[in-house]
Amino acid sequence: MHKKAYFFTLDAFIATSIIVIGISLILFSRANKPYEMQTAFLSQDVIDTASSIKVYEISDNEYVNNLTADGNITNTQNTVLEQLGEFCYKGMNSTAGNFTEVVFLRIIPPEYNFQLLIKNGSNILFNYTKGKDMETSRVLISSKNIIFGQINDSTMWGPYMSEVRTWQ
Amino acid sequence: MAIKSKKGVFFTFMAILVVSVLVLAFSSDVYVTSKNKIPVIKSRVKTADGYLRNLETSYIETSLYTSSYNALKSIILYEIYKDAFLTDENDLNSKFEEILLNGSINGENINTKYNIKLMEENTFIHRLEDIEKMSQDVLHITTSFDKDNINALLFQSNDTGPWQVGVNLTMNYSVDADVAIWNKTKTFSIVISILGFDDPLYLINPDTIQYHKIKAAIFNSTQWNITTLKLHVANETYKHDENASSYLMRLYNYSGKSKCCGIESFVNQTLCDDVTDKSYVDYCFWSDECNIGTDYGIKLYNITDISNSTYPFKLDSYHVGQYNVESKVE
Repeated sequence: MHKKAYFFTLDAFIATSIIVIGISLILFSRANKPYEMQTAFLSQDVIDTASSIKVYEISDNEYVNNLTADGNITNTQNTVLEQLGEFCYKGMNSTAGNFTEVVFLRIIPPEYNFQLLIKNGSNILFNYTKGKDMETSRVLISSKNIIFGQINDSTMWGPYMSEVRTWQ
Repeated sequence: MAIKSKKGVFFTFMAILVVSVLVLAFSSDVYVTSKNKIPVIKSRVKTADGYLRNLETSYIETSLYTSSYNALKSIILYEIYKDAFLTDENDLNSKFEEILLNGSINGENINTKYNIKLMEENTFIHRLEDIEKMSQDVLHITTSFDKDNINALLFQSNDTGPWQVGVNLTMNYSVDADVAIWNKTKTFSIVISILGFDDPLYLINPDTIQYHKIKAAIFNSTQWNITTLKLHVANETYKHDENASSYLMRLYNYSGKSKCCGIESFVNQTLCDDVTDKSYVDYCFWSDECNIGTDYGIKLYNITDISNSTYPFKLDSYHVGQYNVESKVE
C-alpha cells in the first residue's frame, strides 16, 4: 500500500500531458481560422467592390466599351452591381453573364470559386457560377447586398438581393 | 487508512494545477469570446449605417422621384378622363398625395376606376414595403415606416423655377439592427422637370384634346422681336413671365400671376377659332385675366407679319411691350 512518490509524479505528468495535448489540439484547429477569414474577406470585398465601382471606371475594357457604344449600357454612372440588376430587369441575362465574366474574374483570385446570384424575393433572376464542389466545400462564405436602380423618369427596378458566394 | 501515509503535498499540488488550468482555460475563453464579438458588432453597425445612408440618399429619393413623376402624369390623365380641371390648390395637393402614396383617388384605385395604370406597383407605399421586406430578408435589419403619417406637398418656388416642380415628403421611420436603432423624422425633396409634360390648358379648354407639350423657348428676355416671336409661335414654345400662371396653377385652371414660375405660350391657328376679342397668350385666351380694361391695357393689337385674315393674332399692350414687337391698332 505504500506507493512511491514517483508514481504520483508520473500520474501528474500524464494528466498534465493530456491537458496540454488537448489545448494544443484546440489551438491547432483554431490556427486554421485565417483560411476561413480569407474566404470571408474575399466574399465581402467582392460585393463591396462591385457595389462601389462605376461602369465608367472600367471603360478600359473593350467588351464594356462595346456595350456602351451599342446602347446596352445607358448610364455609365451605374455601379457594376446596379448594371447587372438593370440587365436582369431588362431580361438581358446573357449579357449579364458575359459582363460578370469580364468584370468579376479580374478581381477574384483564380484559386477561389465564386457564385453571383441576383434574386427578386425567392425568384432567382441571375446565377453565375465559376468552379464546382460548392456543396462539399468545407468553407463557403456568402455576402449579400440590396441593389436597385432607375431606368428613366418613370421606371425604377428593384430592390433585388445580390449575393456573392466564395469557397475553396 | 492507507491515504494517511501519502504525502499531502502531491495531492495539493495536483489540485492547484488542475484548478489553475481550468481557471485559465475558462478565463481565456471568456476573453476570446468578448474579443471576437467586437469586430462582429463593429461590422454590424457598419452594415446598418451603410444601409441607412443608402436608404436615405438613394432608395427613398429614387422611389419618390419615379412615384411622383407617375403621380403627376396620372393627374393629367385623370383630368383628361374627367375632361375637367381640378378645383383648386388643395384639391391638387390632396389628389397628388393620395395617388403618390396609394395610387387612388377618393379611395378608389385609379387603374380599376379610370384605367390609369401608371401607379401599378409603383406607389411610394409599395416601394417602402419592398425595402422593409428586403432589408429584413437580406440584412436582418428591421426597417419600419410610419405609413399613416406621411405628408407630401407639390410646389413651385424660386428654388424650382418655372420649368420644374418640387415635391416635399415628410415621414417618420426607424431602422433597427439589434446593436443599434435609428429613429428619424425627415423631409425628402425632389424636383421634376415639366418639360415634355402636357399643358392642361390645352387638354381641357379646346373642344378636342390638344397635346401641347411644355417646351422652353431658346431666347432670353433681350432677344425678343418680331422674328423671334414668329419662331416662338410657330414652335409652340413657352416663355417665363411673372404675370403668367405657373404649370401647377394650370392644373386647376387658375389664371393668376406666379412671379417665380409663370409660363405662357400662344394659341395657334388651329385653336384660335377666329376669336378677335382676346389676347392670344394662352392663359389670357382662355380667361378674362387680360381683357380690355385690366392691367394688361385698354386695347388689343394686331401684330405686323403675324396677324392675318386666317389667323387674327392679337396681343394686349403688356405683351406687345414684353415681346418688343410693332403693332397696329385694331
